[in-house]
Amino acid sequence: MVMNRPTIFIYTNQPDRAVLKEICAGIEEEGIFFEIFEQSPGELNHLAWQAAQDSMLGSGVGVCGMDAAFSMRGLKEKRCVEIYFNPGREQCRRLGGNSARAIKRQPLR
Amino acid sequence: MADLAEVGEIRDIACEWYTNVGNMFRRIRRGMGEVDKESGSNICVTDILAVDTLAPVVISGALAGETCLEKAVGIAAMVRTEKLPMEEIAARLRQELGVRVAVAGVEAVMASLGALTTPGVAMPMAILDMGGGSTDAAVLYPDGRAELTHQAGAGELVTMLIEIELGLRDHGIAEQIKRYPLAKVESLFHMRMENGQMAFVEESIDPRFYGRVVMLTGEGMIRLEQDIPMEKIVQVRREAKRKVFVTNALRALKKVAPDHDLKRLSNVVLVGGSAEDFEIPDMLMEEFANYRIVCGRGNIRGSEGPRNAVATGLVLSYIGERQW
Ligand SMILES: Nc1ncnc2c1ncn2[C@@H]1O[C@H](COP(=O)(O)OP(=O)(O)OP(=O)(O)O)[C@@H](O)[C@H]1O
Ligand SMILES: [Mg+2]
Repeated sequence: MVMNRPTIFIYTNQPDRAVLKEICAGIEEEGIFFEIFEQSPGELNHLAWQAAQDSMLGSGVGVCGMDAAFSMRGLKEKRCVEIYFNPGREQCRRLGGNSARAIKRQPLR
Repeated sequence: MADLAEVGEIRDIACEWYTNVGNMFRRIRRGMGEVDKESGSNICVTDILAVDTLAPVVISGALAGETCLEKAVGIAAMVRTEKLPMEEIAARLRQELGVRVAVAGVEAVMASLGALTTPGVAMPMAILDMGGGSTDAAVLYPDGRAELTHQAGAGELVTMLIEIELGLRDHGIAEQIKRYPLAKVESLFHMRMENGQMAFVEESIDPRFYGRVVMLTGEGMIRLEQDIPMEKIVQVRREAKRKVFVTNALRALKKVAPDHDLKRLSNVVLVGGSAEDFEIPDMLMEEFANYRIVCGRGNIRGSEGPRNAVATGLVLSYIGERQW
């Protein structure tokens, strides 16, 4: 399958449902589309980085269990823009929003 | 301001009471009265610079603190007191440091002497000392004659105009905006400079700067929290500098030039903190070209740049006195 829709990629590994839901809501609020793909177990940094590599928009989110990270294409694998362990609702929403704002060239919050 | 240029030497400026400007003047006098208790009512305003500006005013009854821009006037005043508290300061320094302290020299003359240490500068020459509070000019002749003037308005006024017009409410940020060129970080790997050039970087830019207007300090970037378009900031910054320094430079040099004719000056050395500015010397150069005046930043003692002119002048004159 050729995947070239302009979307933010979210790579997950057994994600917490509440965390994922808030992140998606954050992206939606900014008016950008996203796609979720379940991946085999891996490191959180790597998930986000790979998602950013694969997304046509160059913006990717990784969610592992309760933890979440956001990366942009061009950044090093170990240097995500944001990474949270066990984030609160606000943080999840902001992370999602930021992954979308990055595409719109707006300052991150 | 046009009338001000017409009159000769000003001894004092008085204002109508109970007007906006009158109140501003009363505040200035009261402030100076506190610094110098002795002169009392003998405080004179010897020069003013008034500039038009726009200040955000809170709309009454607004729900979200909306503001609109209203015309306002910024005024800088040159204040002379009968006797500055100089002797007092000198006495205190003597006491605290245990060194001999004397009060000497006229600022603009000392600045000229200092400026003369710039490689390649010779008399007769004119200097323009652009400081924080005042813009001073002097012309020095080989026979020791000097013409000088002190004009109100300099770097601090520029900072204030920037702070007010951009609604920053923060003097420190306004000062930074005045000093540093801007860029907008457009991706993790490039930014657009205020002159339109693109700058690309090898290492990715810190995401905290992403999408923001930043100031390029030479030792890294400072990000601007306020959401103001880069073009707007550049415009306000340039206008403020022009309103204060181009106006004052012409005013001051006209006062000291032979026959008050600018065309009779040939070269001008720029000194003082504001001569370090990254665009003010260029603005002046452009303006002076109309009068065939060549101007350039001083380089005191061939190493200090445009600063330390007065200090250098004082040392030189002290050494000179001892030798005679
Ligand atoms: N790099 C710079 N770029 C722009 N402005 C600068 C720079 N460095 C200093 N200034 C400005 O120079 C001013 C201070 O200059 P200076 O030290 O010559 O003043 P001063 O001699 O104390 O004042 P005055 O001569 O009015 O009594 C301040 O307004 C400051 O903002
Ligand atoms: Mg000075």
